[in-house]
Amino acid sequence: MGLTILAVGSSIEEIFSAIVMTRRGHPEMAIAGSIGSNVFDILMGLGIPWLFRNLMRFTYQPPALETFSLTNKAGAPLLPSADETFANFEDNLPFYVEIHSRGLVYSTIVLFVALIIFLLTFFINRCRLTKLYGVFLIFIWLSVITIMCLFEMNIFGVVHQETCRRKI
Amino acid sequence: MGTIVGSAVFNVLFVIALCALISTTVCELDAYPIVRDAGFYCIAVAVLFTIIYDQRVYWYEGLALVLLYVVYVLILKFNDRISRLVRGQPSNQNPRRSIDCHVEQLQALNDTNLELESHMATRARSVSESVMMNTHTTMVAGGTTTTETGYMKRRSTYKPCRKRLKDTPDNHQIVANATEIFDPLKLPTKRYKILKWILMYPVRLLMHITIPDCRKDVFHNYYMLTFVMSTIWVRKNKTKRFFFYRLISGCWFGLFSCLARRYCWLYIKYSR
Repeated sequence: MGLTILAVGSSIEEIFSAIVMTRRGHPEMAIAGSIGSNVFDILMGLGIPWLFRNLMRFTYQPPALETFSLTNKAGAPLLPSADETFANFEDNLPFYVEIHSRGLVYSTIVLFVALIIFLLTFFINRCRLTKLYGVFLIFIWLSVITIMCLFEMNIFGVVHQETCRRKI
Repeated sequence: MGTIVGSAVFNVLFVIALCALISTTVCELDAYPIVRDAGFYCIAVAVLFTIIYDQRVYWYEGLALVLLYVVYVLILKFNDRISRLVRGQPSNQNPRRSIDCHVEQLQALNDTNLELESHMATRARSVSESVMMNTHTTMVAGGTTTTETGYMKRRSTYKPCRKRLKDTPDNHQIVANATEIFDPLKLPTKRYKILKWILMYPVRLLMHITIPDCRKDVFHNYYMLTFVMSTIWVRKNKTKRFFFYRLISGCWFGLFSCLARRYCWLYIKYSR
């Protein structure tokens, strides 16, 4: 939730560049820049880490095979032998990165809906940027942020695990 | 991921709202680039949703995202052709609108040409006049290629003009006013600007040294280097800012934990 709000901080440059471009009379450039940077964020900023995390599995070696042959006094192996480890390793073949928050799925839906609303209202407004439209967009942004935060705060049912909370 | 989705919403809604609020006049936008970007954005978000729906990301899904970005870049690369394809259809409004747009651009072009013209020698003037005539005739002929030819010709005339402009001092001032090239040796003339100049001096000097200014003729071909260096600077500032956020919030906690660790260590050392 904190990260959702902190995202404002990470796009301060966007704001400044948009302001400068609009002042110089290129609002289209500002809009295309902000949307294009988002496409880059989603496709590359999420795609590359996921891809590499998954590919790292192929270069993964089980740690220090010698330690597996340690035996206790009774002669039974203390740890599973190397063969067994490899067998288990083969069992888990379809490796994946797990996403721990169900709320993010809902956030993505909200983002999609917001985008559709933006496009529809943009055409209803006949491709113009008026002050009223700006206020309307800010209102939509506030409501979307609120909805996302409510999701993450588990208001609409439990969507992800509790973060570390002090026990009373 | 929360950051990315949050900043996505912020960028789309808030930045565009700011554009609308700041611009003094009601700006009419061309629908095509926005529809292109937003449409592709919709596709990207839909793909993202299908990928994270089961909360597991396999390797081919990550690869699909990267490939989708490659597709997007390709679309942008062939943007001209696609836009021509979209606008070239015989609907009446779009071509007229694009021609209006071209007329506007050509008007601006001619303005700049006129401005430069007054400072030019007679030979260069005759060249630019002929070019203007050419642009006018091609404009009458119509079509989407006019801006391209006009642009090419403008570039071809613009360079020699600029070289010539640098010779005389008042022309030099005009160029400097238009582009604001930073000169590390020059003090600002106005008094109230001096404080700002002193404050900004180290940063601007660093930038001046590290980033080649592609507006100058010498560095004209190194625009890619300019882009990379600017990106590096922006990244640097960004990480620094995040570091300071962490520093401020984690300062007290860090102090206490440090003290606690030291006392623990001392306790272990002397208790034996």
